[in-house]
Amino acid sequence: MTENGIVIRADELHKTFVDARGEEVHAVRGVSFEARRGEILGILGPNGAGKTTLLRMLAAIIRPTQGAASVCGFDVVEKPDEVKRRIGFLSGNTRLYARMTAVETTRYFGRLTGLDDETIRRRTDAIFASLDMEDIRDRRFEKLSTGQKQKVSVARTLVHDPEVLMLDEPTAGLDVIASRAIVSLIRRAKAQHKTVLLSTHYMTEAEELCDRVALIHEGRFLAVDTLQGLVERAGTTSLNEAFFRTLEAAGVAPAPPEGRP
Amino acid sequence: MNLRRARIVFLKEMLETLRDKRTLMVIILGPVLIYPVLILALVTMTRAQQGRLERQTSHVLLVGEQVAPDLTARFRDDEEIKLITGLTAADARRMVRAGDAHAAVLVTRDVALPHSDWWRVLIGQHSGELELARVVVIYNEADERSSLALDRVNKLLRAHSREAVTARHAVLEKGEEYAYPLVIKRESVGTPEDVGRRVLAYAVPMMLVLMTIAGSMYPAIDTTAGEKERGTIETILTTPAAIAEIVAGKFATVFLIAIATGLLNLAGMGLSLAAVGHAARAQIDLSLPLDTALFIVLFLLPLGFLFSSVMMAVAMYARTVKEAQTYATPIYLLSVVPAMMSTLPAFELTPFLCLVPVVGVTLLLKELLQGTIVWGHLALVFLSTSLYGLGALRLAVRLFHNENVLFSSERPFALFVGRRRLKPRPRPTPGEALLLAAVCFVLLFTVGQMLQMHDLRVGIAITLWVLVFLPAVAFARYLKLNLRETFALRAPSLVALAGTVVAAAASLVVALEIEYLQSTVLPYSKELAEELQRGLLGEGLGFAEMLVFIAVFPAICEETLFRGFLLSGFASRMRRWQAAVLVGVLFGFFHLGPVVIKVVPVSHIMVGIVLSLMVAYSRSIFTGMLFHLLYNGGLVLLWRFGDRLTPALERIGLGGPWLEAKGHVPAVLLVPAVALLVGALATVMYAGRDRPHA
Repeated sequence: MTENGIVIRADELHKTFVDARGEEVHAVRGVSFEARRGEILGILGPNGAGKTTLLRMLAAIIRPTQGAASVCGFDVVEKPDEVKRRIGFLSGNTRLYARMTAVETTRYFGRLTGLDDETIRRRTDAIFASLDMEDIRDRRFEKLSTGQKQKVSVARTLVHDPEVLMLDEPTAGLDVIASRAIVSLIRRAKAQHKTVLLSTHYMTEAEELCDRVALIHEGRFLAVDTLQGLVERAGTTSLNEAFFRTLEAAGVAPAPPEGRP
Repeated sequence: MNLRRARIVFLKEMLETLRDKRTLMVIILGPVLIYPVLILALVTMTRAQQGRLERQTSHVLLVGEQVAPDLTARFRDDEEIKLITGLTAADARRMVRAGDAHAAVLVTRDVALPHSDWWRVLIGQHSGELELARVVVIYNEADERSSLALDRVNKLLRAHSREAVTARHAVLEKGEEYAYPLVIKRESVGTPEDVGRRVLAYAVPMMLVLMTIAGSMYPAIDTTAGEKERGTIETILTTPAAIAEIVAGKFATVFLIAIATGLLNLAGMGLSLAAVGHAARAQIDLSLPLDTALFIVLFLLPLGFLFSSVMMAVAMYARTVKEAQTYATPIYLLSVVPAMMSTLPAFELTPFLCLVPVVGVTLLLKELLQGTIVWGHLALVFLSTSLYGLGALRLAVRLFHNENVLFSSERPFALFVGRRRLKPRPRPTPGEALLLAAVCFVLLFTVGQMLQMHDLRVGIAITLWVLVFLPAVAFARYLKLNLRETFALRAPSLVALAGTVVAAAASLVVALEIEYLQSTVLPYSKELAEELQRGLLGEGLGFAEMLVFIAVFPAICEETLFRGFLLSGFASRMRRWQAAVLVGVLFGFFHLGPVVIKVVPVSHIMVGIVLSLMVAYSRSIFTGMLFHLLYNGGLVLLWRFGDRLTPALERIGLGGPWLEAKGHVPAVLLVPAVALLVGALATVMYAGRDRPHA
């Protein structure tokens, strides 16, 4: 399934949209990288840098305009269903159904991934217990608090026990308590040797969780390295400074990414 | 497609839909509760209002009471009328107008009034001479109480007149038959069931169509634009479910809800009507025969299929529920017109109308409810409606595949962006082409038809230049399109020019044969051309003028719209031949007149497709203009000089009525014409296969 432990591979990925005025918008321009089993790779960049588009391509939600990518050895264009079976994708845009309960939600997504009802029940019970969700299992999504909603989303992402987690700014807009569920999810995934792609524009989040960080700006990867490597290469003392130095070296002057709220 | 996954999506959508109170209101509460209650309340209120009115006394003014004392006495004795006298005619008019009196009766001996303005009433008889008075009744049409007073006055005047005549006959010792030789007694052989069927055929199809589309509208919006707005569309796309499976599950939900709404309405309507008709069971039987009910249910399937697909495709395009409602409401309103066709008397189903979306089903339901089963109609309507539904469903699937439609936060039409923010583009989109076609068609069939009925010559000129040419050019300018690209403004190759001349001449001959073949099946097919021909010749137009109005103007204006804007719009997302066929069909239907709605304009569609192919492959609108000019010029020549041409053709053995499309074109002409047409078309298409855009 994986080649030398490489779980995610992107090769010269491009994505171009045509807007309503017929203008071409280059969201991702020639991104290449690899991510290994058990690694947390952070994708750090300001809003509009192309993080969401890149993750959507890797999760086979949208098709690349050019280039190739594979997840767990499956091509994202040729075998999208095999790719999706192995990914847990969570973002600010992956919301859930207001009129369904927590347990109905995990059952629905488990069934769509091809699991039988007994397996879904077993996994749901385990996830609900670990996330302390027992009291909300039969409550409709619309009746839940923000933190509880986020827990249901996490449960939905994990129900099919994916090998890869793709998390697109998963803590954006969440309060500290709600963010905890996400942070513990990432840590648990790391402990289980899952591969995590974490897109964020929070420097501290990247510093706290990631093994390696890719700096993305205007659809291009400017650098991919360990935190230490990025800092040393930029000749700075923090990731924040390293980010700006790298951008300056690349000849761009972006709006600064946000610090952790 | 994995049906298991489609089933999972379907079950989830059903669960969510049935938990949505708003949907339940539309599909259950409407038909089952509110609807019968409304009908019953309406009937009860109408009856109560009628009873109340009938119990009211009508205040009637009588002017000229001294002229007809007997009549005055009769008015005084009537219990339903309160008589007021002693006023002038002017006062009476004013009071009726102000509502102070319900009607006024002016009696005069003035015989100078024009005949149509008065009623004659016999007021007496002296020495064998009749004494006649003129009676004018004044009332207010806009006032219900005044209309009731008019009925009462009329009844009284008729009774008075009849009694006077009878009395006179008694004097003359003649029976009533002397004055009333014709006495009509009406006897309907229609059974209560027949009367019931007529009432059902009037109301049920329209209500069913409207309710089915209403039933499909909300779930279609909720499962598409609603998902986009709520941000759940990306979540489902992260699962292994394929787009086709997701759409199938969603579509099955919308379809089921639409059908359920239709059926519940049928049941609700049936119960309400049965309750209303129960009181008058001797005259009307509103029960639905089982076989008819089964056929209606059967035809709800393609109808629900069509509406669900169309609504899903439309709603899919929108980014929010509100936007989807904005797009879906015009579709709903557009369906009201064909749905109302069941209420129009003498609108019968024809093979062509079977093919018209919604109209076919509506009229077929009417036919079924009237107790008629035409198997050909059943098959045509079922197949065509299902095919249209399939087309719309394919579009919905394609839109679901479109990442811009799924994820874009931008408005789908550049039109809505605002001109200031528009960037110059080479060509229009298919959506913009469709929009322009719709606008031009509406303008043609409303303003254009009215203008042409008023003055054919001016009407044609204004239609072509103002309603066809101008919108195309103005819209292209507004959208900042490249005019050279959009309207294919480039010189044609010599091959294309030669091919155009040959194809135009050959098309004339082939079209004559097509028109004749069609006229053997549908006698209306020649009506439009003959009407136009008669109209123009009747106006005394000279040959040159006819050439200008029939050949030159259409060649410029229609080509600008069809082979310019529409063709480049459709070809921007389709293959050239596909776009050409679509534009050809639109061009054909553009040549329909209101009188010939029963006819598929086959020859025009053929010419339209040939023209579109010529322009699509030569990439030059001038081939289209030349073809159009030659073809229409040829028609004018035939109209004008056909009678002189016939003897000449007879001398060479090619005589016959084929020049007027009233007989087969001689094989010696037709075969080479078909060969030349195909050859010319193939040559132009081959020569232009790699020709780039302008």
